[in-house]
Amino acid sequence: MFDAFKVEKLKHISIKDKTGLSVYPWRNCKPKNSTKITKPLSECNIAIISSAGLYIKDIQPKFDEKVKGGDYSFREIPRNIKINSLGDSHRSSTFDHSGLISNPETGMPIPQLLELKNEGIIKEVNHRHISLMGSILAPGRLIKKSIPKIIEILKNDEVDIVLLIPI
Amino acid sequence: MCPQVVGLVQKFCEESGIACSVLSIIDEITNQLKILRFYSVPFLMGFPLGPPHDFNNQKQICKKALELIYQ
Repeated sequence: MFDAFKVEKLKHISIKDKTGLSVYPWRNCKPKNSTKITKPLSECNIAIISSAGLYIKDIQPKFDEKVKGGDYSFREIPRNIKINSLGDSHRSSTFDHSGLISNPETGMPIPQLLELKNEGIIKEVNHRHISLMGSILAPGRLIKKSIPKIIEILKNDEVDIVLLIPI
Repeated sequence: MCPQVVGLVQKFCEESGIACSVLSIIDEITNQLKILRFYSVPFLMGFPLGPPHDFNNQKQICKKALELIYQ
Protein backbone atom coordinates (compact mmCIF):
# COMPACT_ATOMS: atom_id res chain seq x y z
CA MET A 1 0.00 0.00 0.00
CA PHE A 2 1.46 3.31 -1.07
CA ASP A 3 1.95 5.77 1.78
CA ALA A 4 2.90 9.26 0.61
CA PHE A 5 3.75 10.28 4.18
CA LYS A 6 6.74 7.92 4.12
CA VAL A 7 8.21 9.20 0.85
CA GLU A 8 11.15 11.56 1.24
CA LYS A 9 10.64 13.13 -2.19
CA LEU A 10 7.07 14.07 -1.27
CA LYS A 11 7.85 15.71 2.06
CA HIS A 12 7.31 19.19 0.56
CA ILE A 13 3.70 18.65 -0.52
CA SER A 14 0.70 19.45 1.64
CA ILE A 15 -0.92 17.02 4.07
CA LYS A 16 -4.02 17.17 1.88
CA ASP A 17 -2.03 16.12 -1.19
CA LYS A 18 -0.19 13.38 0.72
CA THR A 19 -3.51 12.04 1.94
CA GLY A 20 -4.93 12.19 -1.57
CA LEU A 21 -2.00 10.28 -3.02
CA SER A 22 -2.18 7.68 -0.23
CA VAL A 23 -5.84 6.85 -0.72
CA TYR A 24 -5.86 7.18 -4.52
CA PRO A 25 -6.81 3.95 -6.35
CA TRP A 26 -3.65 3.62 -8.45
CA ARG A 27 -4.15 1.57 -11.60
CA ASN A 28 -2.24 -1.62 -12.29
CA CYS A 29 0.06 -0.67 -15.18
CA LYS A 30 1.76 -4.03 -15.55
CA PRO A 31 1.51 -5.08 -19.21
CA LYS A 32 -0.01 -8.48 -19.93
CA ASN A 33 2.97 -9.08 -22.18
CA SER A 34 6.21 -7.23 -22.82
CA THR A 35 7.92 -6.37 -26.07
CA LYS A 36 11.43 -7.64 -26.65
CA ILE A 37 13.74 -5.71 -28.93
CA THR A 38 15.93 -8.00 -30.98
CA LYS A 39 17.93 -5.36 -32.83
CA PRO A 40 20.57 -3.13 -31.26
CA LEU A 41 19.80 0.36 -30.03
CA SER A 42 21.85 1.73 -32.90
CA GLU A 43 19.16 0.44 -35.27
CA CYS A 44 16.17 1.76 -33.33
CA ASN A 45 13.81 4.68 -33.94
CA ILE A 46 13.05 6.46 -30.67
CA ALA A 47 10.07 8.59 -29.63
CA ILE A 48 9.48 10.54 -26.44
CA ILE A 49 6.21 10.59 -24.56
CA SER A 50 6.22 13.17 -21.83
CA SER A 51 3.57 13.98 -19.25
CA ALA A 52 5.01 17.43 -18.55
CA GLY A 53 2.08 19.29 -20.08
CA LEU A 54 4.19 20.97 -22.76
CA TYR A 55 2.59 22.63 -25.76
CA ILE A 56 3.80 24.79 -28.65
CA LYS A 57 3.25 28.38 -27.63
CA ASP A 58 1.04 30.47 -29.95
CA ILE A 59 0.22 27.41 -32.09
CA GLN A 60 -1.28 24.72 -29.88
CA PRO A 61 -3.80 25.20 -27.08
CA LYS A 62 -2.61 24.84 -23.53
CA PHE A 63 -3.80 21.82 -21.61
CA ASP A 64 -7.12 22.69 -20.02
CA GLU A 65 -6.95 22.60 -16.26
CA LYS A 66 -10.74 22.88 -16.06
CA VAL A 67 -11.44 19.48 -17.63
CA LYS A 68 -13.03 17.36 -14.93
CA GLY A 69 -10.85 14.39 -14.08
CA GLY A 70 -7.94 15.88 -16.02
CA ASP A 71 -7.24 16.90 -19.60
CA TYR A 72 -6.66 13.62 -21.45
CA SER A 73 -5.77 15.23 -24.80
CA PHE A 74 -2.27 15.16 -26.28
CA ARG A 75 -0.08 17.36 -28.42
CA GLU A 76 2.27 16.24 -31.18
CA ILE A 77 5.67 17.86 -30.87
CA PRO A 78 7.75 17.78 -34.07
CA ARG A 79 11.39 16.77 -33.94
CA ASN A 80 12.52 20.05 -35.46
CA ILE A 81 10.77 22.18 -32.85
CA LYS A 82 12.68 25.08 -31.33
CA ILE A 83 12.68 23.84 -27.77
CA ASN A 84 12.17 27.29 -26.29
CA SER A 85 8.88 27.57 -28.19
CA LEU A 86 7.47 24.96 -25.81
CA GLY A 87 5.42 26.23 -22.91
CA ASP A 88 4.49 24.62 -19.61
CA SER A 89 0.77 24.23 -18.96
CA HIS A 90 0.88 21.49 -16.35
CA ARG A 91 -1.72 22.29 -13.73
CA SER A 92 -0.07 20.58 -10.77
CA SER A 93 1.29 22.70 -7.95
CA THR A 94 3.06 19.76 -6.33
CA PHE A 95 6.33 20.28 -8.19
CA ASP A 96 8.74 23.11 -8.92
CA HIS A 97 8.05 24.33 -12.47
CA SER A 98 11.19 26.47 -12.75
CA GLY A 99 13.30 23.86 -14.52
CA LEU A 100 10.61 23.05 -17.04
CA ILE A 101 9.99 26.72 -17.80
CA SER A 102 13.65 27.71 -18.16
CA ASN A 103 14.70 24.50 -19.91
CA PRO A 104 11.79 22.62 -21.55
CA GLU A 105 14.26 19.91 -22.61
CA THR A 106 13.89 18.75 -19.02
CA GLY A 107 10.56 17.28 -20.06
CA MET A 108 11.10 16.83 -23.79
CA PRO A 109 14.76 15.97 -24.45
CA ILE A 110 14.69 16.00 -28.24
CA PRO A 111 18.10 17.71 -28.61
CA GLN A 112 19.66 15.12 -26.31
CA LEU A 113 18.27 12.30 -28.47
CA LEU A 114 19.50 14.04 -31.62
CA GLU A 115 23.00 14.05 -30.19
CA LEU A 116 22.68 10.35 -29.34
CA LYS A 117 21.79 9.86 -32.99
CA ASN A 118 24.81 11.86 -34.13
CA GLU A 119 26.98 9.70 -31.89
CA GLY A 120 25.54 6.54 -33.46
CA ILE A 121 23.98 5.37 -30.20
CA ILE A 122 20.49 5.33 -31.72
CA LYS A 123 19.46 5.15 -35.35
CA GLU A 124 16.72 7.76 -35.48
CA VAL A 125 14.81 10.31 -33.47
CA ASN A 126 11.20 10.01 -34.55
CA HIS A 127 9.85 12.97 -36.51
CA ARG A 128 7.22 13.63 -33.85
CA HIS A 129 6.80 13.13 -30.13
CA ILE A 130 3.87 13.17 -27.74
CA SER A 131 3.06 15.54 -24.92
CA LEU A 132 0.43 14.77 -22.30
CA MET A 133 -0.46 16.41 -19.03
CA GLY A 134 0.01 14.04 -16.17
CA SER A 135 -2.54 15.44 -13.80
CA ILE A 136 -5.30 13.02 -14.75
CA LEU A 137 -7.27 11.69 -11.79
CA ALA A 138 -9.83 9.83 -13.91
CA PRO A 139 -7.87 8.08 -16.67
CA GLY A 140 -10.77 6.34 -18.42
CA ARG A 141 -10.88 8.71 -21.39
CA LEU A 142 -7.09 8.69 -21.62
CA ILE A 143 -7.24 4.91 -21.98
CA LYS A 144 -10.20 4.76 -24.35
CA LYS A 145 -9.63 7.83 -26.50
CA SER A 146 -6.05 9.10 -26.39
CA ILE A 147 -3.80 6.09 -25.92
CA PRO A 148 -5.19 4.20 -28.98
CA LYS A 149 -4.48 7.26 -31.13
CA ILE A 150 -0.98 7.57 -29.69
CA ILE A 151 -0.28 3.90 -30.40
CA GLU A 152 -1.53 4.36 -33.96
CA ILE A 153 0.91 7.25 -34.41
CA LEU A 154 3.81 5.22 -33.01
CA LYS A 155 2.94 2.25 -35.22
CA ASN A 156 2.61 4.39 -38.34
CA ASP A 157 5.99 5.95 -37.60
CA GLU A 158 7.58 2.52 -36.96
CA VAL A 159 8.82 3.56 -33.54
CA ASP A 160 10.87 0.85 -31.85
CA ILE A 161 11.28 2.28 -28.36
CA VAL A 162 9.38 4.91 -26.41
CA LEU A 163 11.12 6.89 -23.71
CA LEU A 164 8.46 7.89 -21.19
CA ILE A 165 9.11 10.90 -19.02
CA PRO A 166 6.95 11.90 -16.05
CA ILE A 167 7.47 15.28 -14.49
CA MET B 1 -0.58 11.49 -11.38
CA CYS B 2 2.22 11.84 -13.92
CA PRO B 3 3.61 8.39 -13.08
CA GLN B 4 0.23 6.79 -13.69
CA VAL B 5 -0.23 8.50 -17.05
CA VAL B 6 3.15 7.32 -18.33
CA GLY B 7 2.51 3.94 -16.71
CA LEU B 8 -0.76 3.47 -18.56
CA VAL B 9 0.78 4.53 -21.87
CA GLN B 10 3.60 2.08 -21.16
CA LYS B 11 1.16 -0.75 -20.48
CA PHE B 12 -0.79 -0.39 -23.70
CA CYS B 13 2.30 0.31 -25.83
CA GLU B 14 4.00 -2.83 -24.56
CA GLU B 15 0.87 -4.86 -25.18
CA SER B 16 0.82 -3.43 -28.72
CA GLY B 17 4.39 -4.44 -29.47
CA ILE B 18 6.19 -1.17 -28.72
CA ALA B 19 8.97 -1.38 -26.14
CA CYS B 20 9.03 1.25 -23.42
CA SER B 21 11.50 2.61 -20.93
CA VAL B 22 10.09 4.76 -18.17
CA LEU B 23 11.92 7.28 -16.01
CA SER B 24 10.99 6.92 -12.36
CA ILE B 25 11.19 9.88 -10.01
CA ILE B 26 9.30 8.35 -7.10
CA ASP B 27 10.03 4.64 -7.08
CA GLU B 28 7.42 3.95 -4.44
CA ILE B 29 4.69 5.06 -6.87
CA THR B 30 6.36 3.36 -9.84
CA ASN B 31 6.38 0.08 -7.91
CA GLN B 32 2.78 0.57 -6.84
CA LEU B 33 1.86 0.92 -10.52
CA LYS B 34 3.82 -2.25 -11.39
CA ILE B 35 5.58 -0.54 -14.29
CA LEU B 36 7.63 -3.09 -16.19
CA ARG B 37 10.93 -1.36 -16.98
CA PHE B 38 11.99 1.83 -15.30
CA TYR B 39 15.13 3.81 -14.77
CA SER B 40 15.22 5.37 -11.33
CA VAL B 41 16.54 8.91 -11.09
CA PRO B 42 17.58 10.60 -7.84
CA PHE B 43 15.96 13.92 -8.68
CA LEU B 44 12.91 15.71 -7.34
CA MET B 45 9.58 16.08 -9.12
CA GLY B 46 9.83 18.68 -11.87
CA PHE B 47 13.38 17.62 -12.74
CA PRO B 48 13.21 14.14 -14.30
CA LEU B 49 16.53 14.63 -16.07
CA GLY B 50 18.22 16.48 -13.26
CA PRO B 51 19.36 20.08 -13.12
CA PRO B 52 18.16 22.22 -16.04
CA HIS B 53 20.67 23.22 -18.70
CA ASP B 54 22.99 20.30 -17.88
CA PHE B 55 22.81 18.91 -21.41
CA ASN B 56 25.37 16.15 -21.08
CA ASN B 57 23.90 14.78 -17.88
CA GLN B 58 20.41 14.87 -19.40
CA LYS B 59 21.71 13.03 -22.46
CA GLN B 60 23.40 10.37 -20.34
CA ILE B 61 20.17 9.73 -18.43
CA CYS B 62 18.30 9.28 -21.72
CA LYS B 63 20.99 6.87 -22.91
CA LYS B 64 20.93 4.81 -19.72
CA ALA B 65 17.14 4.65 -19.77
CA LEU B 66 17.15 3.41 -23.35
CA GLU B 67 19.83 0.80 -22.61
CA LEU B 68 17.53 -0.54 -19.90
CA ILE B 69 15.46 -2.14 -22.65
CA TYR B 70 18.18 -4.76 -23.14
CA GLN B 71 18.56 -5.79 -19.50
